[in-house]
Amino acid sequence: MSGAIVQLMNVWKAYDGVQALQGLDLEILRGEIFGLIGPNGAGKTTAIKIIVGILKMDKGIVRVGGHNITDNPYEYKRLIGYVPEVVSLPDYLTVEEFLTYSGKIRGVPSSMIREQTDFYLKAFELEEKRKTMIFFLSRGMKQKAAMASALIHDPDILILDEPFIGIDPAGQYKVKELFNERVRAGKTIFISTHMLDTAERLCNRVAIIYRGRGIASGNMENLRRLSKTGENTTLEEVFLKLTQEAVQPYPEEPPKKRPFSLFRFGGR
Amino acid sequence: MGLVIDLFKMKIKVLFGSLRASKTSLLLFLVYFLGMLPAAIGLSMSAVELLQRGVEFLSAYVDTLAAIISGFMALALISTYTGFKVFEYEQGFVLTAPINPRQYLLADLLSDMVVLIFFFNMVPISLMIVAIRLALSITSILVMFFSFLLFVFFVGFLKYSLSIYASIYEGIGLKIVTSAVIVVLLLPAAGLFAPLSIRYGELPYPTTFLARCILESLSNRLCIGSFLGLGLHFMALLAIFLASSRRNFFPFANPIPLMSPFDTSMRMQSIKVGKSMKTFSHIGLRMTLNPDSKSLLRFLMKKEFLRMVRDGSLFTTLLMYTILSFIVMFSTERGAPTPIWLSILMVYSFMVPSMLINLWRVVEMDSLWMPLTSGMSLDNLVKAILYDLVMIAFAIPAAFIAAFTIFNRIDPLMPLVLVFSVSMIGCSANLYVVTRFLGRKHRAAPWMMISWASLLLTALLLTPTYIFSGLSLLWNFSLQLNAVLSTFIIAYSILVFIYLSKATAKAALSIEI
Repeated sequence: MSGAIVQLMNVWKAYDGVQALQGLDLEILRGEIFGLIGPNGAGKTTAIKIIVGILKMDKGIVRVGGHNITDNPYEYKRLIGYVPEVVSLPDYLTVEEFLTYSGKIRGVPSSMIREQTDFYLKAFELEEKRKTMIFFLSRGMKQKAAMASALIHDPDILILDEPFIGIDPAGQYKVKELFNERVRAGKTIFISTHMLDTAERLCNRVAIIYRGRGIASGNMENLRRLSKTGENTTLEEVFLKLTQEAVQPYPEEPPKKRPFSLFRFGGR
Repeated sequence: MGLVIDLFKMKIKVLFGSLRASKTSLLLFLVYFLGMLPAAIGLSMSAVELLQRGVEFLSAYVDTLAAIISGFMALALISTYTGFKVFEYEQGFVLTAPINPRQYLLADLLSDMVVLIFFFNMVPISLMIVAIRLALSITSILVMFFSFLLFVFFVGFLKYSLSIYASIYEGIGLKIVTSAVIVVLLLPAAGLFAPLSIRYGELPYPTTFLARCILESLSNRLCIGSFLGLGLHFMALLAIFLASSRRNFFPFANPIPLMSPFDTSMRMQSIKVGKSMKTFSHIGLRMTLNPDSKSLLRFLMKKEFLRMVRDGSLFTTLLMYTILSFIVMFSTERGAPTPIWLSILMVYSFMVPSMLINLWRVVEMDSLWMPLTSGMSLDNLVKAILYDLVMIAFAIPAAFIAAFTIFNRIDPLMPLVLVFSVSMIGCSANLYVVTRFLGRKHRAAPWMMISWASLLLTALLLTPTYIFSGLSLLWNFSLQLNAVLSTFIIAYSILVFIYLSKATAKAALSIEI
């Protein structure tokens, strides 16, 4: 591992009257599997969406592969592969066409698209579905197709929001193997997950995010030390201890807006 | 009754949910409402002019008006084939509560009426203008109002009763009866086009009674007989409704996604598009995308074309223009002048871009994260979408115009320029407005209101085109003058297209998902 490939510095984001991120700092190193964990509404998906450029931050700096994403909102995207939490794909394309589309819009040469398509269709056991329209795939297969599309351009960093939801245990095992192979090849994996046991076994380092702020990060040893728990404590125990300790008022309370309402029926 | 009122309030809150959710939705509704006003005023003014010509002239309209009302009634009847439908949330949270079917039905009927009034606000406004302009007596206004009310309840009761029985009783019997009713209801409408001796005016149909009540009230005459006739129909249906609403249809109800003019989810449309994909996948899979395309724009255009083949956009457009061809053939055989078919063509070509862009939105909205995170220039994406849409929106009617004008020896220049301009401006304006409302900031904006705003902008930008077509028709311009004006319109349309496609690519940059 050498140097940071993704850096978030003092990132703030508010929407729908909620302060989703409050000065988040994060550093993901090259060649590691990095896990982002946190309770519901902690800001994990918001942070990921800001990194991949589909949500704008209110304040802060984000660097991906040395590029400041605000200054250069296009070029850095060639370095990333992204799979969202809810996978929605162009249903009218076949799996093969979808991978071709994914490669073409990322400027991948046609010979490489063909090679990569064959490789990932085999790796994700989608060969039989090559000519099937995505509309007819199961949820797990769509998830696999989305992962294949995120890998088609051989990105330096793969960013996955809840990657294991909807995939069967055998599929999950294959995906984890693939992650390890990529890390061995010097690539980076960044996942957000609720599956703490998976994060503990799979990730080199983990960051815990709570109410839009990073409350701890590091490898298991560091996290145990930070949480002042014993040598054999699990990530789940560390997570619970650290998030309970972090329960404190917001440094900046979001403005209390009265929700917009045209009709007020009933007694309230 | 308290429970019915509570249920009604909840249904209203759900149906108008998006209006409560954001100021943008409210603004869009105001645009819709204000945009409808000129149409309402125009419609009522022309109605006033017609009505002032004389009562004898008026009676001729009973058949036409009854046919239009019968058409709407037939649509309501067709919807009963698939049984009683409830929204998915209702099946989980309402039908499992201790309420009886009649309480549910009453609340449903009341909420449907509120939605109707809200959505078709143009009708009461037009009638009010007509009533004032024609100085109608209070009695006439009241008769007209209550006739409407009786008829709406009549159709509601009929729809509910048939849906309930269709849900409870399996088999084809009820469908045959419903189909027979629809045929009997619509048969006299054929008399408007073909030499048939059956006319609405001579039949005791509820639609005839309503048409008479409206037209006679508008001429300040009392229509006691027609009103009583409508009342009798209403009483008969009330009895049937009271019997059918005793049946427990809850276990047989058919759940559907939420549907309302203020709907934001577009789930219903997504389901329909899904069905189209199943149908067209067999045809569409003969063509395929391959990575060898040298230019990204050409590749994206092919992908867009595949989408239009596989999601049914192309087929729907073809079908629309095939129907238009039949209408035009039929009307020209009966000696209809050029402006009539040109007006129909104008309406069609105006609606097609909006329909195509809506389908694009339904299919592509959720997978927009792919191009947005890919790092490619969004100019290419916007161009690919627009070039394909314009190609479809222009090529199909152009083929139709070419065939029709050659066959009838009419100068094709003006209709072709008209369709070119409408497809260029229509597609780019619709895509621009839709793009402005994509993303999480506007997720509470109702899709129907967005379409309306797109149509309004399109109409506004098309004003020069319409003026040109109108003047050309009215003053029968020479070929040279038509050619000069056509060049101007084409140049204007291209400029608008370029400007809006750039603005769309810029707007796409700020989409937040």
